[in-house]
Parts: sequence; structure tokens; C-alpha cells
Amino acid sequence: MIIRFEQSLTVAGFLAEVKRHYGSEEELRRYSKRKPKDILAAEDLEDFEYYSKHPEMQFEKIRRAVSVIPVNEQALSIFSPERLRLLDVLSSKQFESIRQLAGFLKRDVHNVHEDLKRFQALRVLELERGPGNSRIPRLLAQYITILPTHWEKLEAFKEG
Amino acid sequence: MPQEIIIDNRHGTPHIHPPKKQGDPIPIRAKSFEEVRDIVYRHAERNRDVVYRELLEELR
Repeated sequence: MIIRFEQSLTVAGFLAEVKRHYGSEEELRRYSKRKPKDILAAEDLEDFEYYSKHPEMQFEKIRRAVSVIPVNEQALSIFSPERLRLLDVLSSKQFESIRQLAGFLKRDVHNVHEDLKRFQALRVLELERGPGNSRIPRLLAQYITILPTHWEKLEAFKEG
Repeated sequence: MPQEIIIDNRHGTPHIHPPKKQGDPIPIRAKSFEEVRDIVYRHAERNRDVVYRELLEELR
């Protein structure tokens, strides 16, 4: 089984996301210089520079995905009812902090924080810096797809 | 033991994300997603575990 988290965004959305994530273009440049081994940051910078030079592309769509190949059953715990509810709530409501989100979900703030960190590692969501030490959780993925192990052998997929 | 293998195609080229504190994401060259999946499953079955460094060699 493969669990795929997909995000579809415009070039303008991508540029805004990169700015939010790193602080600014300059911050991204500094970060990339400081951590040359962070290939994703280097590629973020490369794409950022390319798209910034092509404003005519701002409405074009970018589709990207993070796929999880579970090795054991523990990996499937990302689909606990609490975690699914968390994702669902983030798709329709905005929160100013993790504490506020935990209050809404009526859950312990530390447990919610752990769940958010797990999803952040999967790039399913981002934790944007808010006022003070707060973090604003923002959902990135719009689609969660479960693919059976040998999905490509299924007739329906062959046709698609 | 990592409980999952994470593949990211954010920038077109797929990258494998290492388990915590085992380095940065590494691009996987010239592999289709199905090939990657099969290599991971074969590796996990053979080793009854995921030995990340070895898996990386197999994916390269």
C-alpha cells in the first residue's frame, strides 16, 4: 500500500508558500548557502528564481506529492480518527496557534503538537511562525490517496 | 527501525527522506515510482527491517 498526499497549487501560490516557509527570498538564499546539503531548499531556491523571472506563468498549476510506503502497521497510525479529524478541521478553519487548535479539538496541546509535527515531516501541512512563539498550522495537501500495492496492474488504472 | 519510507516528488525528481537524524533528502535517479516501491518491499522482506544505508545503495 502507498499513501500519497497531493497538493495542487499555482505558481503564485508556490512563491507565496516558499516566502512563508523561509521568511523571504533572501532568507532562503542564506539558508541554502548555510546548508548546501539540503537539496529540497536548493531546489526550492532554483524553482523560486525560475518562476520569479517568469511572471506570465503565475497562474500555471504545479502538482506535487509526498508518498509514504508503510513498512509496518505502525505507519498506518497516521490515520487514527483524531488525526483524520485534525486534517479535516484544518481544511475548513484557520487557527492562530496550536493551542487554539487543540482547544477546538478538545485535545491535549502536546498530543496535537506531536500530530502536527508528524504531518509537517510529511509536508502535509506547515507550521507558520505567528506572533511570539506561536505556530499557525496550515494544511498544504488537498488530496490523500491510498494506492493498493500493485495498483498499476488494475485495469481501471491502466485505462486512466 | 523506520516505520515508513517517504518519497517526495516536489521538484519533479523523486527524493527519499531519511529517517530522523540520518541526513538530508537524497534524489533517486532514473527510477519509476513502482520500481522504488518494489525495491523497498523486497528490502524490508529480506531484512525483516529497513536498514536505511543499505536501502539507499539499492535505490541508487
